[in-house]
Amino acid sequence: MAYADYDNGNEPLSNGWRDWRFMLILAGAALILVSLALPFFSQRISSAKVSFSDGSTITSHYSTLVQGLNLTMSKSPVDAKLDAVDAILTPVSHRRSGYGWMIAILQRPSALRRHLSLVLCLMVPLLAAAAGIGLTIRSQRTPVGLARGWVPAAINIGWGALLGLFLAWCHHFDFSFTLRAQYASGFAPGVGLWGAALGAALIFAGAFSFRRALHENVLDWWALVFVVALTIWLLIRFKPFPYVEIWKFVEDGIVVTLRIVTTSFGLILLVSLLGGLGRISRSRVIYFISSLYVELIRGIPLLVQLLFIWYALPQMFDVLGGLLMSLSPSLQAQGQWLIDLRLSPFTAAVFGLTFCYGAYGSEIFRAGISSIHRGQMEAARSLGMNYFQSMRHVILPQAVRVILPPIGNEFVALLKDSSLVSVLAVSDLTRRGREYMARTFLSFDTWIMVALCYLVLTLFSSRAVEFIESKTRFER
Amino acid sequence: MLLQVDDIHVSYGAIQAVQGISFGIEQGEIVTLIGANGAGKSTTLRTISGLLRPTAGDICYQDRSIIKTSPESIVKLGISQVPEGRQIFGGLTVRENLEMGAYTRKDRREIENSMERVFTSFPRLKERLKQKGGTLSGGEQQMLAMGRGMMSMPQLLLLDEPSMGLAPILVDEIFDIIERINAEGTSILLVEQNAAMALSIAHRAYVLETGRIVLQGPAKQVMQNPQVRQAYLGE
Repeated sequence: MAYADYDNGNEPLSNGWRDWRFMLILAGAALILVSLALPFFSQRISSAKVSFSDGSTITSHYSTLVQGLNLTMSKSPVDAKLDAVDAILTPVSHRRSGYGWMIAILQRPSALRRHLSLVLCLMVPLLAAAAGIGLTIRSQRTPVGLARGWVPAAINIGWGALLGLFLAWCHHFDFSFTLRAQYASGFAPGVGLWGAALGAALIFAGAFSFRRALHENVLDWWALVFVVALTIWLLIRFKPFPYVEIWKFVEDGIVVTLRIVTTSFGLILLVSLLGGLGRISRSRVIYFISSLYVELIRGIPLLVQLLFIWYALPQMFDVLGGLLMSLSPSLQAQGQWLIDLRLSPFTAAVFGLTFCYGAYGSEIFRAGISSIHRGQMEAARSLGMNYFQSMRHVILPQAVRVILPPIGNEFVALLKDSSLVSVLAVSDLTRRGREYMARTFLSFDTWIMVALCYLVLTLFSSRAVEFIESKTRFER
Repeated sequence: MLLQVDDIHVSYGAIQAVQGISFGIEQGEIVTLIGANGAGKSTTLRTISGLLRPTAGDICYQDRSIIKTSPESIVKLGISQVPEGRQIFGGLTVRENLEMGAYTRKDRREIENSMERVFTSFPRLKERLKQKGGTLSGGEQQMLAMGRGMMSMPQLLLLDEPSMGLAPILVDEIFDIIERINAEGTSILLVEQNAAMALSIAHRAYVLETGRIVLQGPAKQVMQNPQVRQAYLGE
């Protein structure tokens, strides 16, 4: 496979590790390893002091002060207004280096929990150095002089290391640019930080210059999921007001959204299978019923269906219950039960989504099943299986591979369309966002947060679907 | 008579594919149906195996009418069909394909015995037991389809175009095997477009044209018929 490079007009690398790109990468790796031993900075913010107009103060860890915004407010003196927030600086012993921080934190389990993120941030540059050295060493052993598999790793970990170092720097002023501004000069990155950043940049640049030798995409789209998730985290850390509060507010909305989507998706698969089988049924009645279902439901907007289930269905139950009671005195109990019947918002949402998406899913299943050669069914039948055994053992296992990609897309679409259930009384992600906005009028911040949350979920599902697809692909 | 087909009519919607065909198969015989595309050969076969229902007429197997019997029950009675175009299960291994053929049977030991019998007919399958069915060559796939059909221990094997899409040397091999299977006691109903090959191994033959039998008799006699020689044997 490695020899294929010649065919594509790529010159094999003849200088071995003396090729300038390997030199660049090796220099970067060395720079990182050395720089992590040099001082990063001399001081850090250990806590912050909040002063109030009546002279009282609260001193606490900065992140606890802000993240527990409500806590600070409840502790704060009555009738006093907040005057100032001051950073309290602590000098760092021996102008601690990257290695120094890692050792100091890893030695104390109590510190580890709070400073785990710093350790992780500092480890990425080490990984980048390892990837760079690995790329160089492995390349010496391949005939073309380039270990292609290592290139994307070095590129991606390279930029990851730059990001990690930036975040490591932010740890020292607790991610608060407001507090940092008070002692701006005191938080200038030390020589170790600059050196490691330069090293990471060299590894990235060196590996990136090899990208022409690769014919596939170097960008791993999983990285986008990571970047969006990181953006949420950074928003919360850098701008605790209002994002901490928004996050806490919409957090349980995410759980509700996921519960609705997973529950209804399970039911949708079931409805789709039945609908799909109905659409290829030889029985005219079954075919007619399932086709009518598909045609009618696909023609009505999901929002209207949801509104119907939530507002119109109870009214229908009332009328039906009354009818039942007037029909016969023996049906009193059943009639009353129907009148009292109310769907919970969650049930109504799941019911509505299942009903609507089941129709689309039915068509996907029908297409998938019909794509399998009719002879396969006949072969299975003439081996002694009945219709359902043939479906179960022969047709469906093959159809799944055809069905999976479009049904995966349906899952992502369902995830997004689940925001429509916010018109029912379901506290999903979208509704929580609307509630928060109504309370604070912070429209921009709220909807950015909500949008980012949906993005993480949808991007993650898309990647997961792609992964499953690649695992189930097979030659027919 | 092992199988007696009595004046069956079969139609796909408005199209009458088979319009009154009668024939019989004796125990231990090879009977062949030959004819051009669309003559109704495969339709007849699929009607016998229960995949299609005749609109009129009757089919008796061991003196019992089977036109209302489901395909899976017909397999249990001892008729097994090897479908046109092989239709092996491409995603399953050779062993799994053969095991699917024994779907109606429960006894593991007997299944292993039948598999050994299949291997004596098709030693090549034994070499490829763990290979996916879809990766076999055309000839091997045909052997697998026939082996799979034999796994239910049928008394009557229905073969639908076993020579389709195969190289001439493989066609010879397949037909040799068909003769050997027959010699071991399995009756065979063979549907073929390759009339010369089919007539060379069959005991009796029926020539079909647009859903009707136009000629019948012992295979050697049919082979001598001038019309057959002109129409199907290229003379």
